Amino acid sequence: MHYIIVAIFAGSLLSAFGYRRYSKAVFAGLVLTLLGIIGYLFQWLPDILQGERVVSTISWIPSLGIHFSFLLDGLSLFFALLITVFGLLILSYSHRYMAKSAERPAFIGYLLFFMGAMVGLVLSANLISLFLFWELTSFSSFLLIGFHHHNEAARRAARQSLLVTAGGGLALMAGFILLSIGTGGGYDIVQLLAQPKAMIDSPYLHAAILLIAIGAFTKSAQFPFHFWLPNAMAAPTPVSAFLHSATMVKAGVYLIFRLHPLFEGVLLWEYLLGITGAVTMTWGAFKAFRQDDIKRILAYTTISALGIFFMMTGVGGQEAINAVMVYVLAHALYKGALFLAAGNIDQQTGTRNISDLSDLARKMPYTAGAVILSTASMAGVIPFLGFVGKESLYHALYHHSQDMALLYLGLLFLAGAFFTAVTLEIILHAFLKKGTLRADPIKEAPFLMVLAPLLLAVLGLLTGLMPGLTVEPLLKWAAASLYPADPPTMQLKLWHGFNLVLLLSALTLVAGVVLYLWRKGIQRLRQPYWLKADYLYNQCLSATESLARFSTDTLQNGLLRNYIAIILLTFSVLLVFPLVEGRAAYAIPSDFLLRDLQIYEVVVLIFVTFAVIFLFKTRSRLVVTATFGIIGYSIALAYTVFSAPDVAITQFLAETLTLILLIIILHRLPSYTLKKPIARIKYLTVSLLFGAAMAVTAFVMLHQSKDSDLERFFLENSVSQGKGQNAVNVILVDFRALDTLGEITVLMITMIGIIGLLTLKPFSPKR
Amino acid sequence: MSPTDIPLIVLPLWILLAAFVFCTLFWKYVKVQAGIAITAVSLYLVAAVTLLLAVDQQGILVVQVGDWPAPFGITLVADLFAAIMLVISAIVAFAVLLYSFQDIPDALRQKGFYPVLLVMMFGVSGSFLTGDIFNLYVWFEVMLVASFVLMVLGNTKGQLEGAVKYVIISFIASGFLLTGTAILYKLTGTLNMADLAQAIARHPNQELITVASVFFLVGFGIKAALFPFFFWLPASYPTPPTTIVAVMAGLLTKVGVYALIRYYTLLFTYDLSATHSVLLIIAGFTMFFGVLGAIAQQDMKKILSFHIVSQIGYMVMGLAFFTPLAIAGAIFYIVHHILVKTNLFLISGIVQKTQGHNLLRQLGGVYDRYPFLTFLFVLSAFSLAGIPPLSGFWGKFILAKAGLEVQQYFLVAVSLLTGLLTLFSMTKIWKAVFWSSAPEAEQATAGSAVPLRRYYLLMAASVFLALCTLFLSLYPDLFIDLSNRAAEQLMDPQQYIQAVLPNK
Repeated sequence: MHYIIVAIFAGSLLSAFGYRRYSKAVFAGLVLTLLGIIGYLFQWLPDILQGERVVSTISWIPSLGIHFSFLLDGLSLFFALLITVFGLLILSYSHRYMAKSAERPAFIGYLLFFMGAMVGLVLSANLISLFLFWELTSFSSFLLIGFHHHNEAARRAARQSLLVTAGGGLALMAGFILLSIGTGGGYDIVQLLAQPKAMIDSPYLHAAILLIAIGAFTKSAQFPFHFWLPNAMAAPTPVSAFLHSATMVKAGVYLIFRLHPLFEGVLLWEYLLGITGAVTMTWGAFKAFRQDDIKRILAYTTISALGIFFMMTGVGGQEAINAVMVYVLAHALYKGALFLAAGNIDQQTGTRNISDLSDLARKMPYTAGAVILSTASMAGVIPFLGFVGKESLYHALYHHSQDMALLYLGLLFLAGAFFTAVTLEIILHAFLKKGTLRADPIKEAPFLMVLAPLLLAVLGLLTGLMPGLTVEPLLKWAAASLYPADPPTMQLKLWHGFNLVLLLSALTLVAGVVLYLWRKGIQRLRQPYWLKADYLYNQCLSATESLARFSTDTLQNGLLRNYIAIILLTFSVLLVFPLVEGRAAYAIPSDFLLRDLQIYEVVVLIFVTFAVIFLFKTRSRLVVTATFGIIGYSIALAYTVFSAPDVAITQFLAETLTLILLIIILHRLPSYTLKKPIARIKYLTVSLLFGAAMAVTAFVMLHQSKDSDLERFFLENSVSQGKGQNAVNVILVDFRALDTLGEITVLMITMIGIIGLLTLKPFSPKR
Repeated sequence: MSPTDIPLIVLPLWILLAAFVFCTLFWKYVKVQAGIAITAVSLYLVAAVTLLLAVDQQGILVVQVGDWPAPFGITLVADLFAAIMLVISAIVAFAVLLYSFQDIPDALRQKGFYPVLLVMMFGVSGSFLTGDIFNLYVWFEVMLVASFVLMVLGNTKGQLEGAVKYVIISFIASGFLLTGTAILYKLTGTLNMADLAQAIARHPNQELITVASVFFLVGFGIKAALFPFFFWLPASYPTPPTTIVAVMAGLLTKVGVYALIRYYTLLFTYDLSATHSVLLIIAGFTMFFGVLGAIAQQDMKKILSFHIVSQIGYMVMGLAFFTPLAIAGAIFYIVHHILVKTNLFLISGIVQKTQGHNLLRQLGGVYDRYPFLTFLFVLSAFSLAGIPPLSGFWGKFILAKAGLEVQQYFLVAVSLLTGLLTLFSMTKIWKAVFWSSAPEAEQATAGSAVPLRRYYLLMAASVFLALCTLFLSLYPDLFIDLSNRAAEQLMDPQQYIQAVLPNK
């Protein structure tokens, strides 16, 4: 089964590199490959229709329990067929649609890459490999939406969709991890589904549901994350048809279906999906009616349809799921056809705005035929599949026992009415109205570009006429995958006789006509700009950027002294806690200062004290450096006092080198800026705090005594083993010679650096 | 320990030191130096890989330098973590050296670019291998001075300004490290890490050990560029030549992280609430403020510099969770980050070469003109942002899983949000540099776009790292497994102590 995905990805690569030169051959090869894949999938159909499941696994990351594992059952077969059959049609459409574009190879490549990811997603039987393909679809759709990358709107839309879906993806990942922790198992979907009750008892149940739902909502453009989808219409039309009607946006729906058995009956799951779906459905349908751009209309009706799927899944029950499966197929057929037709219109007329279009029925008769057939299905006119789907939805909701079902039914009725009104508007205005377009030499689109939408539209009619014979078996088992314990129950008929549901269907159409007649009133309604999700998204982005600038300007203000102050302050605060905590461990004797004080020590102390006071007075960098020198040499003096002449010599040497280095650099830096008095107080406070913390620490540590085995060893062995009288020397050159090697290297490098600084002229980097 | 193992640990150090000496002997002959350097780094890579294989098979390897028994002499120790770090730094050194052949101007080479680079790697390797806290301080000094010299080699004003900030803040860090080392010596009477681990466990006043730990936290924190000690990094990284920035950005901060992990798994484990909870807070802030810094920038290299800060936060987060899985995640993340980050700097350098500068507002059209370069960038950038199946995703995934397992929900949420913001800032580069049209001034010369073929060595270096990233992405199991074992070794200090002090 994995060969399917490998084949599609290979096709993607092949077309990216070979399409330019051998477009015909590669195209034919791709079509054959896809046909082969579809054939392969169909070959499993008899088994699946017996209720079987096929699993195949390739080991990938056993240490994390992540595998490429694939599951073929009714649900995944249904979606895989949907994707590949649509993919084939879209491929042939794009071959013609992009014929004049120099970037066709990349386009076809991205498209196939996306298809591979999508097929991988629906076939995955491992949560993490599913997630991997999930993110790949986000990423490839980013490339596809931004395909016209010279256009700022396209770039913006691409980034928006990526951020929204990838953000949801992160939530989804956390949700999956919680799911696996909660059930105590791995990521194997088959195993998870085999014990659906394991998750119900887990404390992570609600967090997991919420996170997974957020992932699905962002991907499937549910309110309030829906805004990226209409903006994504900046993509080339085949992309919209493929990603935004038939496949990618249904990934969230697929995920919800797939995991439904785990969560069914949990109130949060039911209400979260139900209410979000209902709101999205209503809002999307309403917004669709207010658009002028055909593609945006289609985008909003898609959002609305996705809302229906979520709502029905939230309602739950086998009948609702049966209904929603039918509607998934119906929606894919009519929406795919409509998007492709919109592409034809766009390419042949140069506009997608209904107000600019007229008389298309005469100019583009085949496209018009496809549009009329598929919008009729969208409106739910008998005898299209859309009608069958809508009937089943009404029926399921009407007979459902959940307390929200009737409310949902009312909203669904409203959404249906809006769909009808939209249908009327498109057909009457763009296709039948007489207008200026008549005079323009507008021709029908080329054969391949008419074939695909017409085929889909006719399929919508045929399957609507004979649902029981054509689509019922597969849909039945697709729905039954969600209820593995129960036998499948779906029975599809076009005509159920005269009953309440039929009346409701008819009333929907009537209400749609009423809404259409009332359109001026509805389209006049204004939505405050600050309530638009897109506006809020922009606000979020700019707020993030402002916060970023503010925090960075505050922290990273370019002043070294400020950086040092923050470091020292943090250090002192961190140090105070353990010092206070551990105060029982040490006692401070009262006479510590004057005990055994020597005159040399006093001299050194005076040197250092004066130097420090002087430091605060001076404003010249050079003098500061020189004063530092004084302090350094005084400390070296202190070493000689404590009878460590070799250390003192090292200190003298280091101090001298540092001075030279600093002075070389300093005169190349800008002159010293004067500090305000308040700043001086700030830095003085930090310095005092730091000094105090260090002093206390040093003092406490001085009074800790511990016999060291090391000292004894060094003293005992320096003569016998190290052959030296001076233990310090032996330590330096023998016991710890590696340290000395390092320090010699440091000196050497410092020398190289100084030579470099002294002799190299500043150069300007060449282009 | 059999006698044949001895050179194995010392070998990487020895190769670099010898190469350094030979380079200084051929001071005037830059081409000879280049030959010595590439030979040495290749050998270094081979030695590191051999060491890793040996450690993997035989367990922790130990050398007592000068044959003075531990804890009296200096001990070099190679456990899996150290060996992994050594291999990855060798890989980076190799790529960067390749890149430098076409990137570093002759003037700089004549001033000792190769020997100093070799010494820096010497310091890095020593830091990984040492088992002695004072000796670690010495290696840090070697590294610091070498990196400082590399940084100022160009001698431009911007470079000096950045380098001064770097060197002064680093000296403060060195001061803390040295004081901390002195305090630990005073409290326990030993410098050997294994011995120290035992002495700390026996010490009556743990609070005083915590006092010492603060010195190391801040000292290594500065080196690793943790919040709020990271200022030197964005200030000093964007200015020097790309080669130098790439190796520093890739490696140096991670040596700080390495030391933190070493100390906080071996030494400061007696009271997790006193030590690791501070790390937890710092990790969260580091991630968040680092990525905010990246969002605020308009220069490609500056954005990349701030990302380093943010991702150091991830690594420290793994350490702070303190479970074997979390530490493994941190190790995986370090390795992934070194590869990807170095490569991103290399790529930004190539973009700079073709366009002359790095300001987002004035760049564009790379996507149209250099599709292959774009591909290399996509691979690294989206790996950094954690898009599966690229390597960054596995690191992020393991850390998120480890965090959720120990119920650190808030920090995991922060880390995921940081991931999203990283993606946000990456798409900013992507939009401006790759997708947008070339600026008008550029378009005039678009016909004469520089062919990438001319920069074949730059590209070769970048492709080499990209291949490593791809391998890590598509076959992560090999390395996750290795990280897991390394983490188990780290979480069981007895193994380390036994190897160093077999008689105790």
